[in-house]
Amino acid sequence: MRFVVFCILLGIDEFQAWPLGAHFGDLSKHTQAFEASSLGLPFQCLDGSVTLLSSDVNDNFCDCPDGSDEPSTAACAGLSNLGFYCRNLGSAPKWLYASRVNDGVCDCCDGSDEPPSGCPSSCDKEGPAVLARLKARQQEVRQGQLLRRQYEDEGLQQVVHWTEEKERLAADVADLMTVQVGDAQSSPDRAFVGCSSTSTAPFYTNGHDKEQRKDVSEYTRWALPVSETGPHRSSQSVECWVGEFINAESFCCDASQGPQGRQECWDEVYTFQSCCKTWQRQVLPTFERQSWSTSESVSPERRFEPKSSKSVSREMRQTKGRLFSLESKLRAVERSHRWFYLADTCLTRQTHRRHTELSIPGASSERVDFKLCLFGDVRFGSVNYGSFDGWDGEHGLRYSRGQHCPGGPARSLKICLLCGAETELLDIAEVSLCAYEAAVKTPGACELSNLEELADDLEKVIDRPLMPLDSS
Amino acid sequence: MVRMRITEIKPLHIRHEIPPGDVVSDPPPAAAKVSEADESGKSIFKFATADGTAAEAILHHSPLALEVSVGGQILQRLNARNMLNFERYRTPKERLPPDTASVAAPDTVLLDAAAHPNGLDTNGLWEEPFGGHTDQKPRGPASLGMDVSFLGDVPSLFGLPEHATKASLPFYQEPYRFFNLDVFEYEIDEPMALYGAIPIIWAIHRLGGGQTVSSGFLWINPSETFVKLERDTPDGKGGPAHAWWTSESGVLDTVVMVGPTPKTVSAQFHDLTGHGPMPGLWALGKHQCRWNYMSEKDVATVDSMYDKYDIPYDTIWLDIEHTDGKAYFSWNAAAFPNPKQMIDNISAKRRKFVNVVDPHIKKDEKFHVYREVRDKGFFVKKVSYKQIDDPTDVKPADWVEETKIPDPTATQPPEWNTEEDGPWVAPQIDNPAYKGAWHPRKVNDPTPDLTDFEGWCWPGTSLYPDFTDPAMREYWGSQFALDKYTGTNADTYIWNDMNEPSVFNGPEVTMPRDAIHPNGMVEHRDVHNMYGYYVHRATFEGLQKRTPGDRPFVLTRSFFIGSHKYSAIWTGDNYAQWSHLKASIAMVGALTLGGQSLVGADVGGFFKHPDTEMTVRWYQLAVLIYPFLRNHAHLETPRREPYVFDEKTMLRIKASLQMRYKMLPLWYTLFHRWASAAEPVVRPLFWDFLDDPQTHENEEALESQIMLGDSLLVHGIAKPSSEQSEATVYLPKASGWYSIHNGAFKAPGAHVHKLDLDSIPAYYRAGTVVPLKSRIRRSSACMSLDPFTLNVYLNPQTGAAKGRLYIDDYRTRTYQDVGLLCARKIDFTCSARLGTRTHHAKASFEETLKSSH
Repeated sequence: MRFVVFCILLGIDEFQAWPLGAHFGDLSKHTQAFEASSLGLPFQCLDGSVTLLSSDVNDNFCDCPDGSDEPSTAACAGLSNLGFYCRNLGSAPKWLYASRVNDGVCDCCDGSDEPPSGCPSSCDKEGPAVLARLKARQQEVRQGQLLRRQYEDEGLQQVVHWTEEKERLAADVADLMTVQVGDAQSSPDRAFVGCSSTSTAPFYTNGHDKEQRKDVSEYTRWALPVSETGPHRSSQSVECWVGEFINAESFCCDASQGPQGRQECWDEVYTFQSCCKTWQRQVLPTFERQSWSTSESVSPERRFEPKSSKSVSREMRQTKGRLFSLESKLRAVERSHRWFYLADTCLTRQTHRRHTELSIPGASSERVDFKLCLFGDVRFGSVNYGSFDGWDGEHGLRYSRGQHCPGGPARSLKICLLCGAETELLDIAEVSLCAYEAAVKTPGACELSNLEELADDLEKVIDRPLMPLDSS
Repeated sequence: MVRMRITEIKPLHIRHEIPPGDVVSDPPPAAAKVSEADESGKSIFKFATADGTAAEAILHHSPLALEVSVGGQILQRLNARNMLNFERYRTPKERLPPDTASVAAPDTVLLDAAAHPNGLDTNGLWEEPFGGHTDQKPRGPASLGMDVSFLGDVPSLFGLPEHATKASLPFYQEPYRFFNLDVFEYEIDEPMALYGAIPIIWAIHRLGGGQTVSSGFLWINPSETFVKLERDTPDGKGGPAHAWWTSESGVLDTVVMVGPTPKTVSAQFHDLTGHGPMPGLWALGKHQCRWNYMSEKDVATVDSMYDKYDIPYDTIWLDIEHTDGKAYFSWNAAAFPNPKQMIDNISAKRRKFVNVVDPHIKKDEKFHVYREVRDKGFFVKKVSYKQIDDPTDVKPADWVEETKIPDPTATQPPEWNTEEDGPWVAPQIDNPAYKGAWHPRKVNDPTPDLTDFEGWCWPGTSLYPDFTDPAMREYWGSQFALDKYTGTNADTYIWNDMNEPSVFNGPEVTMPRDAIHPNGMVEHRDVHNMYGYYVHRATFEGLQKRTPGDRPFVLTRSFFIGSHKYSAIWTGDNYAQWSHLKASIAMVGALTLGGQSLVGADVGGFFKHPDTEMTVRWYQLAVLIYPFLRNHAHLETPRREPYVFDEKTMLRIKASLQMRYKMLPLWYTLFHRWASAAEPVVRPLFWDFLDDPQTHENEEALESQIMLGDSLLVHGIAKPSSEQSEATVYLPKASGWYSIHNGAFKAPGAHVHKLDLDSIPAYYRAGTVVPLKSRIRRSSACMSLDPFTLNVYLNPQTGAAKGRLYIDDYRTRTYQDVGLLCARKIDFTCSARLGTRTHHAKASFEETLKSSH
């Protein structure tokens, strides 16, 4: 059947009145089938399921399970496979669901989806604007494409560079540790206490732990990756002191640690906290809880750092900070090298607080800075709205563990990256209590297909139809 | 039907009576031709029901009892167990002046705690503390109560909405409570009070000779009401069933609907309370709501996402966050700078818009509604109780107030020299006759200070208009005029939430009972369960005036008998739990038996987040059995619009919604049957299959299944597939059933149905013609001129099928005012022997109705 239809099609010199709503832009099966039926030949539904008489086509009765026999009518409304095509001469053509045909709503600017005189033709009016919009967009996407390619190339080098530096710094840390170990042995009593046991029994009853303690200072221990700190004893119930946060922050905060210094500090603290359980046994023995509870009068420096190792410690601190910053950058390029250019990028926008804040009387008109660091954290005014927590699909970024809303969940954010020539924050919305969504335009999100689709769209607007028009 | 009212002659305070027309139609239904005869100790009334069934009511004089029988069989006996009680208003003894000896003579018949000689507990009669609040009860106790017995073998009782209980009412130890409350996260299978009250019981009576009839009993009282269901048998099954009612105040007003069929019980209920109006067709479509869509852009996005996936829906809703600081009738200008344009854009797609307008009024001098209602004196008042001097108490003439008197025993000493010492004065002594300083008696200030009652609700300090006042309702209604309620258009409709009323800092989160409604100085306790009714009625009447000829739409959370004349209701703040999905079947069924056919539960649950399977199952059930079909969600939940799910889930939801839209002609025709013939749109199985005992007692069938009209049986699936892979569907006695999904024929009886995620069991009754529309568009209005499809499900024995089709303009009152409607019976007969072949016929329709769009 299909073969026959095709052959006949080739024999046609010119197209007769074309069914309204049928897409004639390409010589698709659909086109062929309709042409055949217009000559009185049987029509096969496009899914191949049913063969109909030619008179069944476009007779305002849906015969095909896939709705393919009624491109001009709404008879197959609700079957989504195929739709109605508005030519929209002078503007952009459009595919509609069959459900839009003859439904009392003007969807096509040429009015072809509604009965004659049902809709005024507005294609001439909107056409130029549509064209201008498409062209501007095409320009934008082209630029975005170029930048993206550039970022792909640069990213490759950058990542190599970062990786090398990271390895170097890791080696430095190891070296510094050796220095400190010796240093710590001379003044073990000055080391830092971060954790305490919830049990009243002292930790250091085990002689082996005492031995361990002599090897390295507890400060050094903290600088060590968890895996290097020996066996994990989970049997001991341990809690971390609250004061740890405050002190650990000053411990690691340093202007040299990059644009996201503060955030790095916090992350560092989390690291401490997580390793706390693992190696407190080796760390704690000689230190008293009281050294924390009376901390007001004691400066953090004094508690963290044995004076004799101060310069070593500072170097260690700076190195660690740099290392951390690099790790964070490398996290940004986990998916693709090209994202390197966003590793240090923060976007700011003044916006109204939404919803939750609206409940506070008088706050409705307050404008607050929304600051989004793409692979770091998000702040709205002074409130943390979450930290980067990984990718969500191809062009989505997830931020979680923000500050808790009063009586609500922790704030979180999702970002959708859209293709654009520049990186800019488009919109922020609270979609459910303390869950936000934002859109960001950026070149890295430009895909080749964006350009192809646009070119198609433009072609349809610029180039007039290849086929003769339906005289009706 | 038989109505019995008892009130007090010349009460000390006016006993609150519901104004005529509010619940019982005004004028009330014409009295049947009654033959009345008085015999010794009883009066006999004989009458016939509308369908000609002979009925009889025998009033026994002492002790008072009313027996109602149909066809010679006694169905109900009122006060059968002599629990009639009627506390008459009286002056509190404790507050009488001590020199008054008057004590009311105790009644020997009526139990009256306030004056009972046998020392009943009188605590709380004149003042009652509760949860940090004190109910002043200045008028004292005024409760009333009575029992009613449902006779014969009564396998099940139904009704008593609104309770989150079972379809076949459990005989709990605790009584069912009617006290409209803003309940937070309600429990399932409990007699606790919820948001609304329709105190109606439906009974099924199995009589001798295999005859089964049904009857109804209505308790019309808007004060707090309890009803305890009881059985004689210890196992709680079979035999007669009893209901013991008690209300806090008002008059005793009961109606026995004698039936004897479910259809006639429904007809009698609606004769009494009025028929519901046709809803606009769009109200039966899909409603998309959320607490909250946050901005105009948010609204536009939700709307366009439905279009993107070609999913039909009719109405988008905004909850409280759209307002300026919860001052209703206003807009948050930052998020909704141009609401009129936003709503016009929705209108342009032939869709509708609903805004929430709650009855609590923000106390804010800048808010015109606050100022105006305050200045008109329409706010509910708080009484500042104080005691004053009794003006009738005058100082007795013989009252001795002198504390000192000259000592009478003293005499002038002989040596007293008057010239030198001055006149002799007897020394003062304490006056033995001194009675103390006189103070008039303290009595309650008969005209205490009334100030506007202030409570807390969403806006903070809020005031509550007295909606029982017709003048207040008139004012309220006028606020919906398009030139008053800026930003709205004629496609904007209203949702009244929190109208129990909800008072966050009040006793049980509602208004104190001793608050005063200035309209008639009625205490809130007297009208509490009707507050919500008056709110939504005021809104309905306002919308009627706003757009004359239009069919208003109001959704209310709180309701009372008669709410069906004005509003849709939903079952309040349910939970995303399988148990709530299941309970909604019984809750919807009970509400429709109470006359409220435009009803539904929040699809997917309000609190918490349903997983995809629960969401799909909920939609599959809701599209077939919720007349009011709304998806709603709590502020703290993730979004759950159909398009946010994975594609498979989205397509399943879409298929369900498409099925709903396909079936809209059936729904609409059923609503015509409701509005014109009192037939509930959705109803428990017994309503159509009273002669099938399984529909009275098969628990699985009663709790999982329900009928849409007389043609479609639906079985809800309320467990995840991990726990349930098949369902036993009970198909009642009929000529057969056809699967809605694949047309497979099934004989009546129990069938095991293998489950998949694409559908839930649902069967058309053989012998029915179902009107459908096969073109599914983006809203019901877009489908209004599309052709109909009639699906014919033949009775295999007779080859015949019957159905109905109702058409009007879907949105105005012309169907009522000028009879512009088309209501057709469809009779399909087939003379030839039937095969199993499917026949597609083509037909063209001339539209007889012009769309007035």
